[in-house]
This record gives sequence, structure tokens and C-alpha cells, in this order.
Amino acid sequence: MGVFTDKAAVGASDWPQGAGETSRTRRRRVRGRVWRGLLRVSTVFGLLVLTTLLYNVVNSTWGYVVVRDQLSEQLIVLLERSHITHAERRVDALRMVDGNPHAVVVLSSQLVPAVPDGFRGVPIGDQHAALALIALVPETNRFLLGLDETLLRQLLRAGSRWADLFPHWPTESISLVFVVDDDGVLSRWAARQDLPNLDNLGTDALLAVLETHLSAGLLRRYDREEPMADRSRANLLALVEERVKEPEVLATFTLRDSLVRRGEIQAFAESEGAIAEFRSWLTLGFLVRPQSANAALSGIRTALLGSLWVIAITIIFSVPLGIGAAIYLEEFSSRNWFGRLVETNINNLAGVPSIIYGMLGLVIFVRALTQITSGSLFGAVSADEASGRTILSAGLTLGLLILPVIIITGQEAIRAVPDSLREAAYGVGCTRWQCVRWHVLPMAVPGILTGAILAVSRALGETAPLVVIGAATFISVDPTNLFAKFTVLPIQIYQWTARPQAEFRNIAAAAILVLLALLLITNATAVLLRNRAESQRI
Amino acid sequence: MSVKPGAEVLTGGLGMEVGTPQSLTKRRRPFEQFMHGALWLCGAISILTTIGIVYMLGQEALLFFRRSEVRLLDFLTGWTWQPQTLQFGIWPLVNATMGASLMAMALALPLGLLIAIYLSEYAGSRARRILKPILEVLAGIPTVVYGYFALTFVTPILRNLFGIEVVEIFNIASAGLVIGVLVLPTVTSMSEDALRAVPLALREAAVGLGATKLETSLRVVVPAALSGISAAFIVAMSRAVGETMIVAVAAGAGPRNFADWGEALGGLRALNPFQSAETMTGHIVRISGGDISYDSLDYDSLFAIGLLLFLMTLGLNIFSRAIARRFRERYD
Amino acid sequence: MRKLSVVSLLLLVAMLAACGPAPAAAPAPETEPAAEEEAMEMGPAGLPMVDPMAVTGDIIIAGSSTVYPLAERMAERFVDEGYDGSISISSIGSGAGFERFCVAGETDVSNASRPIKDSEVESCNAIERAPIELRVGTDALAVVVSQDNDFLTDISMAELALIFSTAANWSDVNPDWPNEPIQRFSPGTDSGTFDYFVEEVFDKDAEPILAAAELQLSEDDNVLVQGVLGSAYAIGYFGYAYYQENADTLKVLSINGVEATADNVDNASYPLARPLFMYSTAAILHEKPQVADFLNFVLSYVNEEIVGVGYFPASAADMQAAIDGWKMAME
Repeated sequence: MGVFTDKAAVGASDWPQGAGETSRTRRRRVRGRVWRGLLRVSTVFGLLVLTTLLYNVVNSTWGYVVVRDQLSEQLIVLLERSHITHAERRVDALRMVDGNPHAVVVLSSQLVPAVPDGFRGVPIGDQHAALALIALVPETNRFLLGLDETLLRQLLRAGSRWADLFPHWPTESISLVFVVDDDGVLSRWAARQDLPNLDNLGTDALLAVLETHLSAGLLRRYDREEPMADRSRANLLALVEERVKEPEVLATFTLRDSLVRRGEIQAFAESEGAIAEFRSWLTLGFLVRPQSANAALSGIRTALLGSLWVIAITIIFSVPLGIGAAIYLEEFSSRNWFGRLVETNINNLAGVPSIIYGMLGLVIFVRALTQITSGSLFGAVSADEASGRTILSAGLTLGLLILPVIIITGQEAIRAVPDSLREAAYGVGCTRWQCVRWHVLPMAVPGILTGAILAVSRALGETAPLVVIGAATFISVDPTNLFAKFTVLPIQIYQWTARPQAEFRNIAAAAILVLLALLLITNATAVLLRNRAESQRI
Repeated sequence: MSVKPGAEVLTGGLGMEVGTPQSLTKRRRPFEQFMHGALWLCGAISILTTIGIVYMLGQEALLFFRRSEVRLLDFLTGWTWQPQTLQFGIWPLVNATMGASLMAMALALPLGLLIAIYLSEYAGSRARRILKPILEVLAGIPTVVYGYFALTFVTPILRNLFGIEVVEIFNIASAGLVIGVLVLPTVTSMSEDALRAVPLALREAAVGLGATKLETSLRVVVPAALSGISAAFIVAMSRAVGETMIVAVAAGAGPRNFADWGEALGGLRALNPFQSAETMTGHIVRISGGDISYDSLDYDSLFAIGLLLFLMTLGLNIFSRAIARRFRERYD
Repeated sequence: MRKLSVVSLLLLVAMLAACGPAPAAAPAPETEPAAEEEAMEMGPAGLPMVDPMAVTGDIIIAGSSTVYPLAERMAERFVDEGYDGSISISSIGSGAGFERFCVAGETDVSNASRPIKDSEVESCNAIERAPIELRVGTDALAVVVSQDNDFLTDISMAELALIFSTAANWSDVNPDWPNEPIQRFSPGTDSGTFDYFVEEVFDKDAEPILAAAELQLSEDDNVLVQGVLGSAYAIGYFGYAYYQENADTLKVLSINGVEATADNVDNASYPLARPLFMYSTAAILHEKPQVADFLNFVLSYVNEEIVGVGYFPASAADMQAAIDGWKMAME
């Protein structure tokens, strides 16, 4: 307490004055100003660091994506011609040809580092062009020696026989096998030729397209939803757009790049025969779609619901319990060994790594209390199917995890209430509980809420303990009750950041923003309450 | 505030009714006793949790120490953690944990406290009401995000500052600093609450005696709030010690091993913050989520590490509590 | 692009029913096909055709995080084709996956990026769950350097062993290479990738690689990518999909002159290709027909999906073995 112990006011004659004192006062003022600056700089620095963090998230949530259809419309139409079949892999295509001398495999030159045995490689046109194609002709074929784009276009014409092209060629019909690989070279090649597109196809042709490209199961499902034969052309066309073209994300760009390097991105898209579009990865659809292995189609519905369920249980369980414990420790417990033990113990629990809580939750809630946490006690599931890896177990485990923080902050808040208040309350005859309920608690609410906010924020972002408890990474049905299987947002974020494909980082960023919004909403209530309580404080 | 039921004695007195005083013997108050019991239970839950943790960890750790390949002495004094070659010396992991936490605290404590003082004593109430919730929301960002922040943002900065040869791509410094950022909201928010809870009268008295605002803040308010501030530090430190994902992403996935104490401390190589290392929590999470068989020594060792970590934080807490109690000031 | 099943699929479309292979009497168009008739129908892999819409009951899967994207893709397709039950997949690592499968006995299918260990089989047997192994694909490991590296395109297994162990500088391995320290990047010791690499390159002895100086380990392959990108003298290995996504900045090395291409993985000439598995038991397949149906579905269609996930199809022989395994379990 330096201020007081300085050789301060002793007598009127000693009252600090004179030139020395003036300069001393000035020095103190200057020091004050310097520190004030320092404090302000610290605050700005802190905010800056946290803003950078947020910027990194936002930067990945919006930006250009370069998208290209895996199958161009022209190729889709081509593949419907009766003499053209296709395979996804070269090996499959070669197997399909299987020595037939009248069949030819057409594919991107990039896919043929070495010509396979039993085949001749017949380059089509300029092999240095971006979209160079090559034909693999069985060695048993003795007539097709060279191939250029004109001849290939003739080959594509439906129904023709080899002899139609050159009279001395065999009269067998032509059979072409396209290798439609992910690199989309053939697809782009077709798009550049003067070939018909989907607009020219009628209902039957569209139906045939769907039958070629969709799996049996999917067709069966669509057919059961509404018979394919009864569907309108627009409906079929929409299905083709959605299911056959398979737009593929070639590259994604950050918000910063999208703003600064727009021209380059457009140029890149053009060179790849793709479209650059500005995309927000965070959309309403993202919130309500289920998970998918395709980042562009994936959503977070199940994870969001799971997080909401779990955090609700956590709050219901831990906030009352934590405040209760804080009250007990500060107001009721005599400072005996038990009180001290509990207090040390709680401080210690705050430092236990979260994954250990996961293990504890596994032992207690998942295993020992299976009957309760699986709901079989209440008849929610049959006993032999009972599994304790449920929302309830997860919520309780996270509750245990954040309980210490709530208790510690609660204790501090209660401790900060001046004793005079308590004494006044006891003075007018309050009982202990009445004193706590009507005098101490209202004063301590802001601090208690701060602790609760921080703790709940932490619980929302936890991953490791939930993985141990048994949160799934993928679920096919929404969680609808306490005893359901579940997944949560942080688990999705974590598994998405570990994926190789860059798009997953974008949806991870979008999911982080959702998590933050969720946090804001949860906290907004608490913050409002805190601000109100603070303004009422004397 | 309205008059409470318990106040009838007093009103009786004020009414000057000279009658027989009400019996002063303790009245049975069932509700009061119920609340007392309920609150006691709340406190007791924490004890149960601890018992659960110690029992669970202890039981499994015992299995680990019973294995013939493991010797307790080597575990407690060894500097090589290499389960593949049956070397279980815990120090590389402990060292990394301490390094990262100290780094975090070196950033978060001063910065957090300064920000808290600013918010509580200098900033207007509007600024505080906006800034504080913003800080708190950031406490909820999943830590894996902080991990990538460390790896892709902080590490390159460190490498530019200190040289690419000096700073490895995975390093303790970057992870530690970002853990500091992670716990910053905790330190700030809790400290600010503690500072604000100091009665206004104290500040008024100090100012009245001619103290400048700075002197009031640093020499009156902060000491008065020390209990709350130390609680903030303990919570933050505990979280730093237990933090997992940041170190897993940014500090590497291999323990920094040494042959013995001499090699570790010779030239202080064990303390170099710019090299990769693995913390205790990082190791636990990595092994428990990996492809290693659950039926292996490596897997069993996790519980021993967990138990030791538990004991370490216990020691840390007792120590810091003792310090805090010593400097604590009470005003009213 | 699921044309391979075109032929069998045509049969199923109601309007084309007339073209069916005319077994017995044609049923009335409105009625559902009789159960035994459906069992007759064969899917593309020679397994009975699954109709996901007719499958009920829940399926619980857990295990390897490497297999997870593939399992997710298959589950998604299963749901897409009409399954509306509850299917859950947990990505928790092969080890923890087997723990849930063999010790707790609570999962129906265990994903793994390594073969099951003997001790795990024992504990499985102890709870009467004799595991059956179904090979679902292959994950090739890419050995990569930065594109700034101008002295490496091919590497032999012996060189690889040197690089990842005792050699300090590149010139120690080959005098033509620069006299610069080697920076090594490897997945963590807990990962199946590390295990596999040690098995293939170091003959199951992890000691040399762990003793290597400048060895940077990370459990996240994306982080390894960052590491290798950082220097022209860095080298690392990880799942091929991670190379594929960064092909514009990384350079993949051929090993013993064999490139990591689909063909070479298919004919098993590429030496670093590790298997991906799903495990279940015959008893589970019988008790929970939905699990049998799902695994059947996976085996039938996995080759159509696996490339999109970034892995390689298992060789035809391995695939056939898995299919036979499924059939045997169902008998």
C-alpha cells in the first residue's frame, strides 16, 4: 500500500509542496500516462491476436471456387449412342474390349504412360495439346493405323460400321469404349466439339441417361418415390443435372485471394474449362443438410442438433450443481478439513485434461450406469440393445468437466460480496439460506455468470472426451431424444480438417462460424443477465 | 429489499412492545437443513469425481507398472520415451508440458492482467460491455482451430524472426504462445470480474489521498483483488497444462528424447523452445486415437501418464493456492 | 457414373420389367417381388442384390480414421439408395475400434487400416466373436519431396531405409546428391501408416527410424504436407490422397522405378500399398441381417466409390477373397 506509507500527510507543515514535489507529481502523472498507454496497447494487441484468429476462419468461409462438371453435356449425350460404352478406369475398359479387334478404347493421353500389352497406341491429333487423346487399338486390329479428330468425329456418329468409313475396312460395327476419368479430359474435349447437348434430348433419352449413370438402388428409390415413367421432362432434367454431371471442385480460394487475385482465378478457371463462382460455404442449406462425403453437398444438421442436445444437458446438470457447491463452500462449510479438502480438490479438478474426464465418463456413465444413460430403465430401448454411448452420457461427462470452473468462479464471485452485507442480513434476523438467497446471490450473479459462460464455451468446443464417450463421426438419423446416438460440431470440424481435400477445410471453417454463432446465442442470454445484474449493483 | 421472514425479532423490537421476548433457542428449520444438505451434496460430488478419477487411473496404471518391462524408477527418472523400444522415461513428456505451459503463461498472465486492468479501471462501461463478451466467445473456438493457427500463422512468424535453421516447423514455442492466446479470455474475464468486485470506497479513498489513477489501480485495486486474480491464473494454468489439440497439431508428434540428465541439461538442450516435442496430453490423445492395439504397453502407459499429470496439477494447485493465500488482502 | 451395373439395373426398373430374364411366372406389376426371387438376383460382385429400401435395423461401425472416409461414402450411398435406419460410424483409430469390437463387443463392424493382431483375435474369441476379415481397398503411401527438389525422382527401398535412419546429409546416401541435411517427415508412431512403413522398409524394426535425427512426426497428414513443402531438402511419406490434393506443389517419387499409379497398385508392383479392412463376425451377420446387407453392399460397390475418396481398389483376387469370405459367413 505504497500510497499510504509514503511520507504522506503527517502534519500541516509537512504537507508536500515546493519544486521537488511539483516535479514528483509530474513524474507520477507521466508514469500514469505511460502505463495507461501500455494498458491500451495490451488491449489492442489482445484484440488483434484474437481478430487474426477469427480472420483466418472467415477467410476460408467465403471465396471463389472453381467448379467443373465431371461429365460435360456433350459427353453425356455421346455416351447414349449405342456403339459407345464407358468405364471409369483404364483397366476396366481394357477388360471390356477383351481382344475384340473391332473395339477401340479412347482416353486422355495422360492416362497412358505406357501402352499396355496387346494394344497399339494410336495418338489422336497433337499430343502436346492440353486435351490430347489417344486410342488404344487391340493388336488384332490390322486396319486402323492412324486416327485424327475428323476421323474420330466420324467414328462417333451412331450406328456406323467400319466399312462405312472406308470400303475396304471390315463390315463389323464400330465399338468405342471411353475412359471417363476424374481428370475430365475427354469430357472437355467433347465439350469443345460441335456436338448436341442435353437440350436436344427428349424424355425417353433423359430416362436412358439416368439409367446409364445412376446406380440400380438409386433408380429403384426414385422409381418408388415417383415412377420414372411418370416424371416430367423438367424433373428428369433436374435429376440429370444433380446426379449425372457431378460437378467437381477443382480449387478453392480464400476470401483474401478472391478479392485480390480475381483475374488470375478467372484465368485459371478458363484454362481448365471450368467456372469460377463466388461461394459462401456457410448457407442455410449447410445448416439443414445431413452429412455427406462430398464436401460441397455436406451439411451439419445432425452435428448441430447433437451439440444443442449435449450442451443443454451440460448446462442443466452443471450450472445449478456448480453454483450450489460454490455457495456451500463459501457460506456454509466451516473452514474445517472437509472444506479445505473440497476446495483444493476442485482446483485440482480444473486442471485434469479433458480426455481423462472422457475416460471417467466411459467408466461411470457409459458402463456403470448403462441402465439409466441408455434409457432402458425408462423403457426407451430394450435391455439387450442398451448402449450407454448416448447424449445423456456425453452431457453429464461434459458437465463434470466444467463443474470445477463454475465452482471456482462462483466462489470468487461470492467471496467478493462484502461481509457487511451478510452482517446486515444476519442483523435483521435472516437465516443463512435467506441471507444467501436474497443478499449474497444477487450481488454475485455477474461473476457467477462469467464463469458459467466461459465453462459452457469450453464444453461446446470439446472433442476428445466425447470421442471416448462414443460420439459417432457419421450418423444417418437425427438425434431426437436423450438416449440417441449423436455427433457434435467439434468432431466434424476436427475430422474435416484432417481430410486431404481442401474443400473440407472450407466447410470446417463454416462450421466453426456456426459454432461461434451458437456460442453467441447461448451467451447472449447470460451476458444480458450479467449486464442487468451489474447495473443494479450498488 | 423487502422485509424477510426471519426479521420478526427486529420489528418486534422496533415496535417497542414490551412483552416476553421470543424464545431464542434454535428453531428447527427443515427447509434450511434441506438446503444445507443439498449444497453439501454439490460439494461432495467433486470429491466423488476425484475418487473416480484416481481409482480409474490408479487401477489401470497399476497394470502398467506391474508389467515386467516397466520399472518405476526408470519411469520417474528416465529421459527417453520410446514405447516401440520399451523405454518409458517420463521426463521428455513432462518437460514439454512444462515448457508449453510456461510459455503460455508468460504470454497470457501479463497480457491478460493488463487488459483486465484496462477494462475494469480505464475503459468506459460501454467498451467493456462490448469487448468482454467478444473475448469470451473466443474461448469457445475449438482448439484444433488454434492448432492450425499456430502452425500456419505463428510458426512462420517465429521462423522469420529467429531464422529457419533455429526454429523447427513443429515447435513448443509456437504451440505455447497459442495456448496463451487460448487462455487469454479466461485470464482477462475472470481477473476483470475480480477487479470490478473491489468496493468503490477503496478507490475513492486512494484517490482522496492524492493517488493517481495508476497508483490506485496497481497498488490498491489489484492487491485487493488478488484472490480472484490468482483463481483466474490457476484456472488458466490448469487449462494450459491440460490442453491437447494445439500441441498435437503444432508441436509435433514425437517426444524429444535424451539419453540421460546430463545430455538433456547440458547446454540446456531440453529447454530449447524452438524444437519439436510432445506433451503428456498430446501423447495420450495421439495414442488413444491411433491404430496401435489396445493390448499393448503403449496403450497401458497412457493411464500412468494420466495419473502423473493428475498428481502434477495437484501439486501445482496446492503450491499456487499457498502463494495466493500469502499475498491475499481482505477489505470490507 | 455407375455404368458397370447397367445391365442388372435395367432389370429392376419397373417399366422395363418385361425385359427381365423371365424367371417363373411374371408377378403382377403392383405387387412387391417375392423375397426368394429377390435373393436370386445377383449384384455386380456376384453377391445377392441388396435393396437398401428393404433393410431395417441399426448398424454400428467404429474404427480406423483412414477407412472412415470410405465407410462414410458407402454409408451415404446406402442411405441415398433408400436405407432409412440408423447407421453410425465412429472414427477413433484401428486400436480403439478393435477394443470396442473385441473387448466391449458393442460394434457390428470394425474398420481397420492394419490386419487384426493375434492378441486381438484372442480377446475377440473370448467373447465368442470370431472375426472375419473383409478387404475393402488399398491405401498407397506416397513418398514425396517438394517440387523445389531437383535431384530426386526415383528412390530404391534401400535408399529409403538409409534416408529415414542413419544418413545425416543427402550426400551420405548418394554422393551425387547435395551435401545438405535431410529433413524427415513421418506420421506418428501410433499410426498404421508408420507401422506399415517400418514393416516394409525396415523389416518391422522401428529402432533405426526412431533414432534418426531431424525426424519430425505428426499425426495429421495435412501437417506433414506443410512440413515437406517447407524445404527442398525435406522428404516425407503419407497417404496418396494427400499427395493427390497437393500435386501442384509436391513431387511424388517412384520406388524402385515403380510409379504409384492405379495400375501398379492394382498389380501389386508398387511396394508401399497397405490394405484397408472391415471386420465383422458370422454371428453378427446372421443376427443382424442389416449388417450383412450393408457389407454386401460395400463389397458390391466399393470399387465404384473408392477412387473418389482417394484410395485404390483392392486387387481382384483380394476382392474375390472378401466376397467369398462374406458368402462363407452367410452359410
